[in-house]
Amino acid sequence: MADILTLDHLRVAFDVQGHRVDAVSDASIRVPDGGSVGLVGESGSGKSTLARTLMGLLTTPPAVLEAKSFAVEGQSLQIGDHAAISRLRGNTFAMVFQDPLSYLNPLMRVGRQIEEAVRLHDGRAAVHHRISELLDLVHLPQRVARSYPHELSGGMRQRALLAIALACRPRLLLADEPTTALDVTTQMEILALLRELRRELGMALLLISHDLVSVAELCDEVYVMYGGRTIEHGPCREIFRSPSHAYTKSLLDAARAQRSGRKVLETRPGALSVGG
Amino acid sequence: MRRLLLTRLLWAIPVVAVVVIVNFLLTRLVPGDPLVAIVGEYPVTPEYLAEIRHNLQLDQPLAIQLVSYLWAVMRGDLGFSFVNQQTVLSLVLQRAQASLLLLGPALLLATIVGLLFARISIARRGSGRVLLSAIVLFGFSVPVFWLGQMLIVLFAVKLHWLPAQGMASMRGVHGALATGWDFFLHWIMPGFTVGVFHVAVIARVAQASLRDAMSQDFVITARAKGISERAIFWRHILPNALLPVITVIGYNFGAALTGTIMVESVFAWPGLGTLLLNSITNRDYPVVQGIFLLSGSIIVLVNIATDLIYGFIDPRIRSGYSGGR
Amino acid sequence: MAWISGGFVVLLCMVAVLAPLLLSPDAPFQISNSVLLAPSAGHWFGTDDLGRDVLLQVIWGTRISLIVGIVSALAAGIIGLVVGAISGYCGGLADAMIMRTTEIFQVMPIFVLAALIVAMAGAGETRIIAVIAGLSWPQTARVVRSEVLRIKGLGYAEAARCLGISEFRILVFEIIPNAVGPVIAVSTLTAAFAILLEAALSFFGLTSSDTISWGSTLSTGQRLLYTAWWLSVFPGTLIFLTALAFNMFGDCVREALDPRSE
Repeated sequence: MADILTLDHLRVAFDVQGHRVDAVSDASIRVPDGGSVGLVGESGSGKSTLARTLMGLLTTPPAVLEAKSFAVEGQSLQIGDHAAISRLRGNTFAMVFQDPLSYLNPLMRVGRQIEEAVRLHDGRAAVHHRISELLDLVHLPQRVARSYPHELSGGMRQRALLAIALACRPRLLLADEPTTALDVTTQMEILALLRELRRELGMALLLISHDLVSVAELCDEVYVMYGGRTIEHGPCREIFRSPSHAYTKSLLDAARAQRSGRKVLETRPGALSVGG
Repeated sequence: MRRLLLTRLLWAIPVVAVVVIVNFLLTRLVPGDPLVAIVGEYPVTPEYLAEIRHNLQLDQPLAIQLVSYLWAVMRGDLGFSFVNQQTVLSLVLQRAQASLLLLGPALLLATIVGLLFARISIARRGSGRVLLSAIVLFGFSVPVFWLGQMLIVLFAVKLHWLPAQGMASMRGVHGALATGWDFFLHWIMPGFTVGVFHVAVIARVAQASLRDAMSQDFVITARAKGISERAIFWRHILPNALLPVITVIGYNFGAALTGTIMVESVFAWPGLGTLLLNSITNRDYPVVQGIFLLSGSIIVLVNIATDLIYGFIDPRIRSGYSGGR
Repeated sequence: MAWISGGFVVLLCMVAVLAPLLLSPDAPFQISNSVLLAPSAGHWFGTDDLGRDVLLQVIWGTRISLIVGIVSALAAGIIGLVVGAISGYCGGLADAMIMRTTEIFQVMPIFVLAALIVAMAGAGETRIIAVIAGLSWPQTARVVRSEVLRIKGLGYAEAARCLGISEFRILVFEIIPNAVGPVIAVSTLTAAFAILLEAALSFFGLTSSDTISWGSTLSTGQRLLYTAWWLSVFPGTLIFLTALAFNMFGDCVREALDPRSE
């Protein structure tokens, strides 16, 4: 299977008052077409920065981007080329985010916000039909189109964001901690929805999460990120059964401990690397 | 929305009440007979004085006087201006129209210009900040009546480009278009002078609110959708950035109206300001009081209006939602 | 910026103090036959319609403008400090009432009210100061209140209370000294506002005839705009520069206090 996304040796640094701080120091990732890949790591490990880089959402400066190679659907791209990436946004890529309320415009009806994305791809005549189709797809009642974001629950907001993301029929969906801000039952619903969407639409998924359980449930492959590096990757099953890296091991131990109700306080040094 | 309107109306009552009570108390502050303050320093017949004394129950205790004064104000009876031979209410209402004709367009233009300056100052980081603080300092420091005088000296006295006095030409013009043009020529200088302060106010707030709106997460969503930067600005950033701007327009409307009043007296614009200047000179106290009452009421109304507009734009206010951000 | 604006204010203060010592008190009022002369070597700023020297008037007027500006800003600062401290510290009903009052002040057409009061009660330096101070304290009160609320939430007021120090002493010795910075920032802005307000009142003829201020010269200039521009240009420029200096100084103080600005 061809890869929809390949990224080798990405480095993202920020210039903060003369110092250069690496947010991502060396990350490589591959997402096969139609596949689902998880990216796990603790907060500050560089997961979200990686996702934003892929979407071309980082402003340069202050960000400084470097990559050995970067290709989308087999086509090679310059990592800092925002114009090229913005053409892909919405078409090839779409993204959903962690805190759905702040990612929705509070002054605009949900329907209008979906419509904005639909308009770019479908003709005027088809817009209304497409909006209701999208709402069905994410299991939202039709009346939500006339609601404002503040009138919806957390789960509904995340579904609305998903509808916006799906409006352009993306080939790859980047989901950045899509369930973190939600309560447990809603988390499960959203995960189930993501799985269903993947099956129905055949799109690839890059799930970024610190929650190993949701990655295990949704993804075929997993990358582990630590201190700005991708330190391990492989099929989900294998990694979770026999992790080769000590950090992955402790991450898994922590997840198991949490499940069995035991509290574990174990940290590893060197989570953030600061350097020239 | 209805609840919002109701709470704002409830807020307006004490404000207007304070204005009326201050007016009443001030008539007692004038040295000598309060009648002078009520009628103004104009030779009137003793019969009229006796009638006023009776109507306002000036021989009764202060509390009863206050009640009868309030009653008179509520009926719209603000007294009679002997200098202008007109009731105070009709006089101030008539002049207020001219004032709003000067202020309204100036405010609108100033808001647009202020937003433009804010946008420019954000686009050009270093020099933009200097430009913005220069505009703000100038707007807050320049005495508007003096600025008006300087414009007159330059554009009317020296260059003969623009008319300096009044709202329309003395000789009169015919046709709607010519009248409109004539008004516009008369409006330019006072309008500009009134607008300067407001540009400063708007630019300062808009700069902060635009910057804030630009860094909101929903802008990222919009960008991720793939819509153009222009659409992101007009549909997502600007409406959100306008909310604080609208609040500030209402908040500073009192200052704007005051500015208009000062500027009018320089350009002999036939509005409240020129009336105020003349009434002070003629010691026509009831008119001065009427101007205070009316300008206070206009300010209150504008404040309510801006709150309603705010509610119209922001659905969270409309539904009384207070969670989230 | 702070040095330029501060220096200008100091210079003005020196002019205001030295003028009565070096000039005879009648000098600016000296009527002569040289009426409405344009600026020249003899009269740098020209003369007015009564043949009085405009430069002398402007120098003399500095006193009034500065006294009104500084004294009313001080008075407003003190009133605002007390009222704001009470409001922030006591909270409850007193706080609600005071805040409502300041809100009402904020929407009032201050200039019209000031003009009304002065027109009805009569002009005079002290009266004008009283009116301006009486109308501009709410700004300070609001700033002080929010400062008091902020400091109250910090640890050390609580710590002092635990040591058994009385509420009053905490307010006066622990909280108010920490609120002084913002009060100074607001007060310089109030001074600029007061100077502009005084000029506006004199411009509207609301001064007693025996005082000369920048605004009253401007008022004469308004009548003679077509013949004697110098009557408006010079006093107006000084009002502008003085207000500008106070505003700039206030901004500098505020920026110096704000930890977020670099």
